[in-house]
Amino acid sequence: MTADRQTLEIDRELLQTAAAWRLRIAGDDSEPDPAVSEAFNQWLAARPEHAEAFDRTQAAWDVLDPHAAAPEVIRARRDALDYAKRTGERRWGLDPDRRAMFRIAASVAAVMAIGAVSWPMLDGKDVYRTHHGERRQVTLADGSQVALDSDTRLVVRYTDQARELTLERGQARFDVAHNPFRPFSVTARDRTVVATGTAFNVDIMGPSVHVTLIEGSVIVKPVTQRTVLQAPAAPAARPVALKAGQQLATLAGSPAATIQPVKADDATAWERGKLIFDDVPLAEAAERVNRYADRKVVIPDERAARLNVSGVFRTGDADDFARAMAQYLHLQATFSDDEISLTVPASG
Amino acid sequence: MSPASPVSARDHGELVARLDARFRGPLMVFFLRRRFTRAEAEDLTQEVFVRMLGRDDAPESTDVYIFQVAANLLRDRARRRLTRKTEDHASLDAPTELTAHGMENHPALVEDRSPERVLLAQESLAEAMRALGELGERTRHIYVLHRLEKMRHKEIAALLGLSVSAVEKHIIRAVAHLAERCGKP
Repeated sequence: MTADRQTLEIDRELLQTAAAWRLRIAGDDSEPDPAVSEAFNQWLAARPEHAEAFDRTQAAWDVLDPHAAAPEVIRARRDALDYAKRTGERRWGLDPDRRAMFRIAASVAAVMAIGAVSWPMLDGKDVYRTHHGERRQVTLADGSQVALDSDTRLVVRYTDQARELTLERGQARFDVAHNPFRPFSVTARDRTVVATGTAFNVDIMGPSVHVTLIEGSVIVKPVTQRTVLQAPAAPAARPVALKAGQQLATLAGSPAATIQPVKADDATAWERGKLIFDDVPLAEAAERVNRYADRKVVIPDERAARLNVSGVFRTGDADDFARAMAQYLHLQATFSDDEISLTVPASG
Repeated sequence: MSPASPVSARDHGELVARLDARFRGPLMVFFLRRRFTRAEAEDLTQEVFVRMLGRDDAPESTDVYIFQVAANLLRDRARRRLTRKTEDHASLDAPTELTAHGMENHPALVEDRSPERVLLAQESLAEAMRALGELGERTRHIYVLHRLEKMRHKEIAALLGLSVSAVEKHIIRAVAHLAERCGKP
């Protein structure tokens, strides 16, 4: 299928034609116009390129619909409504279309209402959160991108001087829009990651924090001295510079941290719905799996918790994970309504 | 009754060919309007034909029933999905007979997107917003007014002082650009 796709020549002109067809068949009346439908179907069947171009158009047609209440989409809707209102008001005397203006007013009110619910602004702070099993991509005001993993809470505070974010729980990947005059920092527990234009992943795992640098450079420093983040390289209490492909892991309750090379792809596999473990303790793997699961994996047994595991798992499938672990590590899995317990079976 | 007999198989073949010639286009449009992909729309269209085989209506009444069969097909799918999800929410059950027109007012029943597609949609948001940002201001706003605020071409044209065809050109340009940048289904 992929091979087919690549050999098809889809140019802009063809996409325009497909988009014109998508517009023509649009409508909400019950019965499509037979003549238009027939012509459309003939066009669709005429060449594989047409079908492929149409598929892409169909995907683009309502690509934002599922995200109508996402903060960046709300912003785009407000902008569009403002624009229509401004332009409409300028033309008010010329050609007043009251019905359209009324719809604009109603839409503005609706967008404001949605905004108030899902986009709480407190003292210039934006709070983004995801629930269990939910992932979300957010574009911040400066164009920086944040991907939020399941069960994550992120507070964003932008001022003219600085872009300050706090990851309160969970995991997120940051792709930072370059602006050296407005440092971008992410604080997670007792560490602050300072970046200018770069991509990195921050993961709060129990009491520790994992920072993985995907590209560019960042400084990780203890959060203690709350400077307004002028020069990132300012000598502070043992700031650490990371190189791309390195992961810094703090140790619970200790100023010390370890740095080791990792595959950035593995650290951000969650964005693709996968969890990749490379020789990590079972307890840690379970904690990650549990982020997405309704039924949690628990490991009451210290010996079991320390066993190391490797493998690739789908997020949201704790049952599968538990079964695989039981099989490969020779553990006993006990399923109850809200948890799966992994224990070392009694010897014998 | 027995589809295995050669005669009825040929009859079925003829009926499907007739239905196909006459209704494939309208049925495809019917499903595509409801956010299904082309492949899904093709499967659903085929399923409508199969359901039509099971009926012994007079051929003239096909026109009347075929969209009802299509709507009922969606209703059954939605109901199966709801049953899977929440077995105890009987109140969510669809009315027994829904016309195609009635389906419009039941988005929860019409939306039958798989979790995988929702996930894909999540990942495509950033890409779509980037692509949207690359469009001219007017084109971008018109796309948003039409696709998200669900305003009609005529209303947008009246507000912005443009012709309807100019508004349509903006929408086409925006959709084509989004398709080019991020429309991989």
